[in-house]
Amino acid sequence: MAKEGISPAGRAGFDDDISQEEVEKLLRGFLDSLTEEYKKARGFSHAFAQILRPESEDQ
Amino acid sequence: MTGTKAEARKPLRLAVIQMARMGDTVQSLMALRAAKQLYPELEITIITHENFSDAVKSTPWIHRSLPFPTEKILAPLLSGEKNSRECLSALAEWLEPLVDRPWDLAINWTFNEPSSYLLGILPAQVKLGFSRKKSGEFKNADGWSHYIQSVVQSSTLQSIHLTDILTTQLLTALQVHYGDPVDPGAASVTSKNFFAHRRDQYVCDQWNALGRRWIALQLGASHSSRAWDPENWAQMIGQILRRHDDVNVVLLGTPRERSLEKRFFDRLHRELGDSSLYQGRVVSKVGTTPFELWTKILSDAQWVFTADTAAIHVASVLGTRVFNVVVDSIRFQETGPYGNGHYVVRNVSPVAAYGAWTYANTEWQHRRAHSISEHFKNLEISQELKTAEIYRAKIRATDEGGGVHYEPLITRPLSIEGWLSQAISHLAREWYCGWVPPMENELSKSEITPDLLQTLRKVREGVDVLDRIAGQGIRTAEELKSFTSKLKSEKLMKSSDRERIANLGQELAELERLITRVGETQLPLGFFTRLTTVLMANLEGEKLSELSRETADSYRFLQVGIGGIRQWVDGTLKLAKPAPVVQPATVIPLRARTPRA
Repeated sequence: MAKEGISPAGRAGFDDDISQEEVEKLLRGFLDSLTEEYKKARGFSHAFAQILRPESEDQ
Repeated sequence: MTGTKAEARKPLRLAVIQMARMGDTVQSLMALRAAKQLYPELEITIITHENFSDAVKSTPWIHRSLPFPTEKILAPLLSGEKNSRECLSALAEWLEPLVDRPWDLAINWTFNEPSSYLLGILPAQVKLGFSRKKSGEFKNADGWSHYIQSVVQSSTLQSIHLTDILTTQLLTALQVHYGDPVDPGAASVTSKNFFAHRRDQYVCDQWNALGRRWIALQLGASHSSRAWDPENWAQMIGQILRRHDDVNVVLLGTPRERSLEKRFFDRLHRELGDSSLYQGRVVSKVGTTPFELWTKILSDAQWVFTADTAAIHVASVLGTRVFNVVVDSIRFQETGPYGNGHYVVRNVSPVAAYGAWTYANTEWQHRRAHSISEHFKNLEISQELKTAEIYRAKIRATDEGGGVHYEPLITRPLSIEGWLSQAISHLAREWYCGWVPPMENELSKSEITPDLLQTLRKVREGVDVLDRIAGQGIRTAEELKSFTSKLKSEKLMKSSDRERIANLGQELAELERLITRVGETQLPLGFFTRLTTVLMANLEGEKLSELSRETADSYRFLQVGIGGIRQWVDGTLKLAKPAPVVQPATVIPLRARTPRA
């Protein structure tokens, strides 16, 4: 059993009073930071492939 | 309540966010398996990265797996096919089954920024890991996550395995919030049946044939800088094939690793000369193993050779012995193979790796009665030990510290980083588990050098300064708490009261700056600076009196750690003192002898 200390086992976190704006803010934060990570993960090779992609593929 | 029958217990709904790579996912499954054995009432839902969800889908005791559809949601946004609003709706739609009713416990084991928003959104009675407040502000919800943020994610070394951290974090929360576990009996976390797969798939001819032993060699790693060169593997495997007639090798890798496969075979053919003599003894499955076949091979093999964390963790949960070559500065103490009898080597040549493996492979004969140095001497390769690091994994008994430990088979001088990693891990157990094994279990006199002692004497001075700062922090925060508790309002007050609060606040800010300065001048104590920052950033009080009480608690918490480091410094200095030589006392005659006539 953990001894008492600095939040050894988490805190109650049921946000039943969360507003629509707050949910949207969190969702947007999730989407934006995921997008940033996704861009980084695809990295150079993906960016390079996009540049090299023949125009015909776009048509 | 220990030993309560599982059927009498109410289901506990647990949501786990694990959106990292395969290795992290399997590590999480290992921790969850332990929790499920102790709390069979757990109904576990895992949110995974879609590319790494196979392991979760193949685990029968996981209630539900929810892969995040990265390509479906993010690719249209980046290509401009959909706007941000439309993607937000798609995201909300995916999220719907996760927010329909509150979770008993939600835990974020991804430990990154995007996942913190996801935990922030999930409704749960208890949340662990990186999260967000309703305002969107970052929130780190519990002690072990503070440790991850301030130590594991920094350059400071520590030696508690991540599987042990995750397991302890979850089990502690379950025990605190939902009561004692059931008695799991002799249940084991690792098992050949960890994944629900068919066992009769065809691998290749001679697979599991009587008298044949198979080594599964996983080429590559999550990053190319972490992989051991295929030429090195080829040299090592060449020696094995020449000297061990009963051993075959199966090569594993992703379709992207075909170039490594080619380099491996080019070198192996050069090593072996007449390769027809070894026909059929090396089989390549590079790029052709779906998850199910891959795990079957890793499960059936006698050994898994690799530098890849995914293969390491899958082999660990399947109970197959791992020979892990560590490349670069990988922190294998955190992510190495979990279990008994695995070997981890670093700074080795192919010849030294071969020597270490033959020692590991013949343990049942020598029962470690002779040392690895003697073994290398017998092989006439002693010079290969000059730089090599060789460790053997062992699950320690609880009274020895518990968890997996990598026992060094060659004693090397302990660096300050190595010393600190052990001291910090000891502290973490004291902070978050409430007990520690004796320090002498973790340090050996033969590792201590004069250089280390000299550094520790300087560290001791810094520890004393930190202790005084923490003591002052407690007094100042308590004074602020006591003063603000008496105020009728924290908004309307006399200007003299406001000034006093401002002064005490400034004093606390100054103390934080002093901790930073100590960390800058005494680098081994730098983790206290990061921990202070994390603790102070996660105060939750709404009122000044609550915030000051939490600040005082944080300084008390730091003081426990400072005391722990002081004990380690003093203990090490004491351990290094020369022991008195116990010999019969020489009798010194009182009178000078007179020569006999």
